Amino acid sequence: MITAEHLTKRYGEKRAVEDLSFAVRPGAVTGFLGPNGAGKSTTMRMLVGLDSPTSGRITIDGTLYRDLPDPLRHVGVVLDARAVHPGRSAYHHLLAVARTHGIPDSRVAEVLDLVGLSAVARRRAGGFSLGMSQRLGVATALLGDPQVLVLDEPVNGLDPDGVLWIRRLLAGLAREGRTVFLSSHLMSELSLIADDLVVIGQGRLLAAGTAQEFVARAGAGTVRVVSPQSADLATALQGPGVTVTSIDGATLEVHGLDARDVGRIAADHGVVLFELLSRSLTLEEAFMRITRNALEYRTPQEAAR
Amino acid sequence: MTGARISARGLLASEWTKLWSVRSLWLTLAAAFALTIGLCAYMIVDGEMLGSEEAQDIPFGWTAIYPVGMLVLVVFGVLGVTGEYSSGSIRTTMVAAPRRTGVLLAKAAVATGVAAVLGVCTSVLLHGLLQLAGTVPAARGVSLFDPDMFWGVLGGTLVLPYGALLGIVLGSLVRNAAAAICLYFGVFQMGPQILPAFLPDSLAGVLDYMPLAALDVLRAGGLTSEPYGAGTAAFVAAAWIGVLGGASWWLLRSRDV
Ligand SMILES: Nc1ncnc2c1ncn2[C@@H]1O[C@H](COP(=O)(O)OP(=O)(O)O)[C@@H](O)[C@H]1O
Ligand SMILES: [Mg+2]
Repeated sequence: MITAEHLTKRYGEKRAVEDLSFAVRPGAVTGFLGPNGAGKSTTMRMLVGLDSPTSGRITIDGTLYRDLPDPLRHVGVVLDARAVHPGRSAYHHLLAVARTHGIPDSRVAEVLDLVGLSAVARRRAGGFSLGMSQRLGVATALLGDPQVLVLDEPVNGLDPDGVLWIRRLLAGLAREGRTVFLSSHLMSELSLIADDLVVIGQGRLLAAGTAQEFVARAGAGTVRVVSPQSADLATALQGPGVTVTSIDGATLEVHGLDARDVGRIAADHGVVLFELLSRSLTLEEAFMRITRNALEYRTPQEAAR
Repeated sequence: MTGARISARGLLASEWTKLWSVRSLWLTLAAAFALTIGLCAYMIVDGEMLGSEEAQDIPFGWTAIYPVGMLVLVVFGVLGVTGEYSSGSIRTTMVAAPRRTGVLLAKAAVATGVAAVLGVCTSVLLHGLLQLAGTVPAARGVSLFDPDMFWGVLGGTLVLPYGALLGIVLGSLVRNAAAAICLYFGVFQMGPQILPAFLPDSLAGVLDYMPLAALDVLRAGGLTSEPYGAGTAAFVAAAWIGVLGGASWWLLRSRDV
């Protein structure tokens, strides 16, 4: 389990991460979500000891990454696809990493196979496309066969093939029961795969929990209603906290009431209904709503940026 | 894979792999020794300078060329470290060995060790060539282990691994190849020539304690004890590595990567 406790990081005056606490459940896929500059990469760098927290801590099963005698066997990280010397071949890059831990050379061939780079293993990594570099990053992370995988914006900049490959790979790793912690600034990338979500903004925690909890917390969904008397119904539905949008002549979209309320009000007013459909928020809408709410607590100056 | 964990041996093996798997790195190393051997061999066979009036009494005169090789080895050491920062591969390195100290030690040990072994081979080779050529009267028939030969050759040979080590230390101190090489040339190579113009006479003696001045004493193989003896010189040279190395170790531990 990855646990952040009051994690704080300042770069000079700049607060990149502020009093962040969350836990990543073992065996689940946790999406780490936040707009650009929210502090996701900084948090992940602190997790593997590249940056030191200003205060607080982030641990793996209660131990600092730095204190693990065999860190590669616990956590695999893909932070930055370009963390390879351009003059070194993929094979020798992996070999140099494997040797630090005394991981056998045969494992290097295995991970090269796993990510489909065997054919280009002896080529200099400097000539690799972003997609190939990303695969090499994943291969490096898998060297120690770790239970936990941490990936920072793994699909950023990849072509559709690369995106598909990463998705399949992550799904496979999750099926094997590994813990996957991956960040993104796009909910659409996480909504299909993430069991849990940790959402941050401006270095602070905005929400954490399962995807369902997250949607529920963001508030009620919408109700779609079709009626030949839609104008009458719209008037009847009006009330505090309710917004009614007319989609076309017969269709209304209602926020702030559930389907039961809408049906009852329609009956009270003798309105005929053809269709009544309630729809919960998508994760994407929930994310927008939660980050928007967070924005409202900022100073006008910050919000204007 | 059971039992796989970070070890000193593993870190050394890793740095060894890194050294031989980047062409520009081992080419720099090869260039340093090719240059040293080439220049020395030419001088030995030619014999004009080494056999000249002033030099003919010094059996190990050819080692006067070694500082040229040392220069290239400083660059080699610098590149060994700064290449990791400029490429970003330092993050891979530090994630694999998050305690960091071992990485610095292993890097220094591999670069210094390789330069030392190649340096010894170079000296043995050139000593043999000198015997064959017979161009230096004082060296004729003098074994490598004859004290007249040994200490001078040892002092000269030492500057080669010393250069590689200094390069590693300077590279980790400033993390940038151009800055580290400028630092070396500006402060250590040219400093002793430029600074006297700016220093009051009473302080000029301080320059005798610069690393290259200490190496000069060691290279003299006991023929001179100006401005101090070989023991002091060895201490001065080691102290520079200790202080600069300590500073880069501290920075490595405390700075974010
Ligand atoms: N090394 C650094 N020095 C100064 N500021 C930094 C540094 N790294 C990140 N930041 C700042 O910290 C904030 C969080 O950055 P980051 O963790 O990269 O966000 P994210 O990955 O969520 O996009 C940003 O405002 C960024 O500019
Ligand atoms: Mg980022």
